[in-house]
Amino acid sequence: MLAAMPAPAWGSIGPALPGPPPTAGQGFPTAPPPGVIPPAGPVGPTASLPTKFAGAGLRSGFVSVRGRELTLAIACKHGGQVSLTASGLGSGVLARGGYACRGGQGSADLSLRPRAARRLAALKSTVARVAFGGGSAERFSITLGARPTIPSDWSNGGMECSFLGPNEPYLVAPNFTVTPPAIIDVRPWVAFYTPANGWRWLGTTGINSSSWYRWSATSAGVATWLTPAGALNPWTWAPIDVRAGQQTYAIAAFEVIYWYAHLRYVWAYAPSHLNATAAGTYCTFR
Amino acid sequence: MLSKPAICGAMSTARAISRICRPRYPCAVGLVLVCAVLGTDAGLAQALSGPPGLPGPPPGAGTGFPLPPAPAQAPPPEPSGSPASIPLAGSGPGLLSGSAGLSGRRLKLPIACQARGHASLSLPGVATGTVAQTTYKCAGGRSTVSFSLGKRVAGQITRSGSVLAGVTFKQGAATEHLSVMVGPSPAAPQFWTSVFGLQCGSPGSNQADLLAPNFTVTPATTIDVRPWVAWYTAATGWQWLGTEGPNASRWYRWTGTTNGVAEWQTPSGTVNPWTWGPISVSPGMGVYVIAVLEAVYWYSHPVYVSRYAHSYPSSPYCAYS
Repeated sequence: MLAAMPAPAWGSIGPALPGPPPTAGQGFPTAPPPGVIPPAGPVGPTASLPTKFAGAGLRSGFVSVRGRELTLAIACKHGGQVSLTASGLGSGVLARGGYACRGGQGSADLSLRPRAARRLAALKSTVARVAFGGGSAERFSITLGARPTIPSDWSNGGMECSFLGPNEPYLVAPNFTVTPPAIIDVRPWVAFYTPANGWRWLGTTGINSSSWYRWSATSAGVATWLTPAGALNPWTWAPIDVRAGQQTYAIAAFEVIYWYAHLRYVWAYAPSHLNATAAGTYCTFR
Repeated sequence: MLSKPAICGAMSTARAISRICRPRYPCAVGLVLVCAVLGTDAGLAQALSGPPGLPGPPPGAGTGFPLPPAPAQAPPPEPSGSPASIPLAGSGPGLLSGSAGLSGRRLKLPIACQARGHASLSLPGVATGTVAQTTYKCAGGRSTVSFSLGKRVAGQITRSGSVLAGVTFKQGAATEHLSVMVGPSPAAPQFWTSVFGLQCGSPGSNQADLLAPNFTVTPATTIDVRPWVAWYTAATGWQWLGTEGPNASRWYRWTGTTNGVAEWQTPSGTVNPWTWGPISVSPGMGVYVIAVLEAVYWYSHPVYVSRYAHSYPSSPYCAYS
């Protein structure tokens, strides 16, 4: 049903994967009204990857749990507190802990409540939220599990690393093929990593914030993107400026809602196209 | 999944010309020019010696792309190229050939020059920044720029076979950026196979018209095309003229389909391709002219191609005495 293929063997070079988008599975739009064909809508806005963040970030978004124990790898400037919630495992904070920061890195060892650990063992893998500090805290999503599930990636679309310029990547939405045809809502993201900041998420409306784009998908692809002459112009987000000298890794992710009678939600990464012939996990910007 | 584009099906020139002049392909505005030129003495020069090599890639080849097209958006109408003239002098040093062989770690570029200068080499697909630089002297309007490459860079070029390089010349106060193919085994020149191309001696004996190739693409996609003419004299070497002047051209956006460019098709079934002309040449200069068109196919994973256009009736160049 989905335009996807098995996950590639992730390269040994580069950081661990960033996990799910920051608001994965939340903030859904209302269902499409009957009989309304969505217009093509706007492309993604000109954007740039910020380089300065006040709070801590994660260095990996897929976190293994052994028994009740887990460790969060953190990019930080100073020590602090971290808490973990997961609606699939229970209500409220399920684990809390502190971390020290040395050389820009720290780790927080957390212990899940026994009941939450038992529930996770049954689920095998689930999305959880991590919050650093209190008040206006930095919040991230992670995937928890004994062997956290990495989703298959979209089989086309993704990030063009250098076609527009050496530090000007852009995103192309996968050509979603859907049988039977359905209205889909798609929320695009760029996850980007620097040693100083860990993983951060840029959406089309800013850091940790992205828009849903509504299209009509068929077995032949996204009908909404077809031009009058029959060309398929996929949705793009361009350009995205990356400041040189930050040792930046970037990867695209797309959340999708399939508006069948029973809503279906999926998120997955998309390939990074390094040049005319090679694809990989990340775009890298030195 | 998207399939790879099929770009302009192969067709020999002779076969192509006979095909377009068949009755079932009524001559449209552009086609009339092709057919007319074939039947006349265009007054072209019979030069004693042509350029030592083809001009290679246009300046800034493979860079400066426009942003991808928006979903569902048809390309806007595009104007024809304005009348232009081949300048009387070059804008700086000119390459004598657009491909340069690599011997060991030594890369030599023969150029036409007016004075001594400085040259630097970049290889965007191989390394970042400048990979070699040197100075050159100019004697009798000729010089050979000799770059010494690092062992690692030379090795990468050798493994790649042929790579796109940028050369920046500083000659006096002028700076010029050119492109050249570099490698131990230069790739064979590639030509668009469309029946359209550079029409020598049209509309006047010292003029040319460029008819853009009728890009056939499967599956249909939006394309951006940047047209150039390269011109050569013994004094200037290869120089470049775009629709916005020397070393400057712009991108034109159309829809390439299995039947050619959708925007060029008329209700009666004829094809009116994009044209640029007349491109006028001053007599007595001994000028050779060839057209090059870069194209971007805006698939999900975009494809960039640069090829020469055939010159009619005598490929690869139009020659003017």
